[in-house]
Amino acid sequence: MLDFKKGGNSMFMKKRKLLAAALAGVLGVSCFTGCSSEPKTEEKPVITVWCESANEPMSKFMEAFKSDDFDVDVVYYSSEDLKNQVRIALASGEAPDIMAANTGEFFNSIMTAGQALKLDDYAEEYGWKDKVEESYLNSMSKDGALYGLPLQTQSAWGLMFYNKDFFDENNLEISMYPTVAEITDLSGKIKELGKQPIALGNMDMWPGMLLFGDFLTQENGQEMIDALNDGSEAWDDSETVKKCLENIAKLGQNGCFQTGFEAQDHSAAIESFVNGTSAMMYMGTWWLTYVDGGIENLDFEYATVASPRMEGVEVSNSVQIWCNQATFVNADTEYADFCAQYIDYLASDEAAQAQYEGAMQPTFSPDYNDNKLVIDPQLADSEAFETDYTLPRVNYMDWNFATSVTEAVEIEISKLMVGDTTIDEAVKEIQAVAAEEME
Amino acid sequence: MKKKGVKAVIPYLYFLPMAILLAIFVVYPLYSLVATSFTKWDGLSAKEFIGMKNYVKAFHSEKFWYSMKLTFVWTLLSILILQPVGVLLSVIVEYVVKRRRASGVMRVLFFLPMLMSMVAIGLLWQLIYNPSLGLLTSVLSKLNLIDIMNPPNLLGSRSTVLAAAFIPTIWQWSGFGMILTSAAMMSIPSELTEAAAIDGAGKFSQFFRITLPLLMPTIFLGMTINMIGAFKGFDMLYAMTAGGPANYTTLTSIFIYKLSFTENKFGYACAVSVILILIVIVFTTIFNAAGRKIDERFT
Repeated sequence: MLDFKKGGNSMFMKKRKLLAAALAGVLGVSCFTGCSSEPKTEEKPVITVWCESANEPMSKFMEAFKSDDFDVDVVYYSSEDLKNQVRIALASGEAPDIMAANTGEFFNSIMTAGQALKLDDYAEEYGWKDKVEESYLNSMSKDGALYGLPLQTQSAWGLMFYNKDFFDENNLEISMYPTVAEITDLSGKIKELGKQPIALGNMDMWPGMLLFGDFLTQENGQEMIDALNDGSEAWDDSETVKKCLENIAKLGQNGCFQTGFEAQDHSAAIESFVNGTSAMMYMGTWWLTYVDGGIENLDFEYATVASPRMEGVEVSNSVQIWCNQATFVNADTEYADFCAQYIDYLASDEAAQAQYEGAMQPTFSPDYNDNKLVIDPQLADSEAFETDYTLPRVNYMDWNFATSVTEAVEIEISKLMVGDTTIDEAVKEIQAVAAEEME
Repeated sequence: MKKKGVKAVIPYLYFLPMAILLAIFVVYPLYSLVATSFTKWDGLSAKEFIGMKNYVKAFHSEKFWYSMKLTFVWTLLSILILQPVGVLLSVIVEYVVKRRRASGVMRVLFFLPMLMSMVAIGLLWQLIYNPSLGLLTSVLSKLNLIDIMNPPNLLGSRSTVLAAAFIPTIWQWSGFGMILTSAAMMSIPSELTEAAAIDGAGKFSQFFRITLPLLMPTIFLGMTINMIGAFKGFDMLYAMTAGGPANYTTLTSIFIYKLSFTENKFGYACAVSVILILIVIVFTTIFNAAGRKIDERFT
């Protein structure tokens, strides 16, 4: 037994000292574990790139970049995460060298805050403006200066997809430009045959906003969007807006969408169509990449028609086809020249090839799109799809307005679809938010 | 004297590491939150001082009051249901199930959901409830209880979504209440129930007249913890409904998230956060005072 009072703790104290010395030794050794007796080699600078999760061909391409002068570290995020991460990173001063951001209010605020590098000199040196869709460059420019490039695929809306095998087996017909009345009638027949009508996943509410955009662009174009934005057209005074909302309300309240559309997201909607639960689907053309194993594994033939039309409208006035994001350089980057080299790599024909292989959609490159078969044959064989690409383009509707206005429109659309509000109440709510935003 | 001075400082030195951590992870963020609440800030541009405007906006906002109403309903459900269900599970595990091993297995099974991520639970139950693809529809249709073409749309309907979204919360958090109550039960001296049994009291009377009153402080503690958790409940509900349909499950926490990361109104979001913190402090103070009274009464 140790007697602490009379120094009988000497054995204990020795053990403590030994333990302390051993710990100090371990700590000291660990401090030097990073050291090497070999001479240090100079490391190449690394530029960091943040982008939306890419499919395999595109991610392989992005990571295959080689340069004697610098390395590239590519980090992938889901679409929603990327938006949040970019904003947080820019606010904290920890943003990467190259990033992607949704055009519209988000990228506008980045340009206004001076967070994006001016690219005009590089654009001229590398000839970028000839490599991308020119009509998108305005949304990536401010006060005549270019800040971003449209290097993503171009997804189209204004379309609806249906299970052709099911339609043929059951003698169902659908016109190339189906009206809301036709869709309502068809939905009833589909339900009697034991399937859900239109697959839609409106949990995040942006599909409803895109549907609003499809109705809006049937008789209008960019000028209407600008008028709503600058207040010259009031939401609660616009017959156009009311007509669009009325048609959405009809579709929702007449049971044209699958049960549960209010609470499921877009991936569940795609699954519902792909597994045959729903006979039709309202979605952007990017859904092709969501099919497990690729579109060739789809066990039915699908066909494409236009999205539901207002009475008396066939071909739209304009269409929601846009480049998904703006690729831009951090204004605070130390490696602007290296970033420009990497962006040029992303704007190459090889990049367009990789993008097509992964997404099966029109790529960022108009030249590549003209020369190659860039779309799934089942999608291509559609008058509505072909016509879409000839129409004037507008940005996706959920990026066209201030986010609080978009949020207000989305909420009212969600309520209208289930009959929880009226058109007049809905436009009044939206106008209140829009007016507050303009103050 | 010098030695006394040194000795007086030593206890504070032990407290110093925790104080530094608190300062970095609690005090500074709180200060930053309050400071930002008086500004207009989109997260990118410089902050613009606007005084009390964010607070005035919140108090005049229908959306804010609607989110508060939903939060209060959610909190009330949490207080009234979670802990009592925990007590019920504890009674099953400690009294109803006779065999020790079976009781142990049940305790683990009831507690298991507590170990799962809230987001995973939200996504899991979203799938379960999905009318077209989900387990609930599949089971009910196999039992011929529903028409497959008109499946229950629990998360899509305003009248059912909040209750349906609360069920996974019960599934997850009742395990916590069970563990809390079981631990408290073990600390009750067995002599009390033995004496009651000798005096002729049955199991039922023993539980309701001896055990349950002695458990009241623990039950109340569990309710307080559930209340605080409910006020800041976000992850599971957001994963399941994203605050929808429309904004029918947009609790104040989700409202704050949307203001910040969807509408980019960080100043306003901070003001709403401060209001929520103050409300939680008030309710916690009331609960603590009530808890002391319960302690005095039942112990």
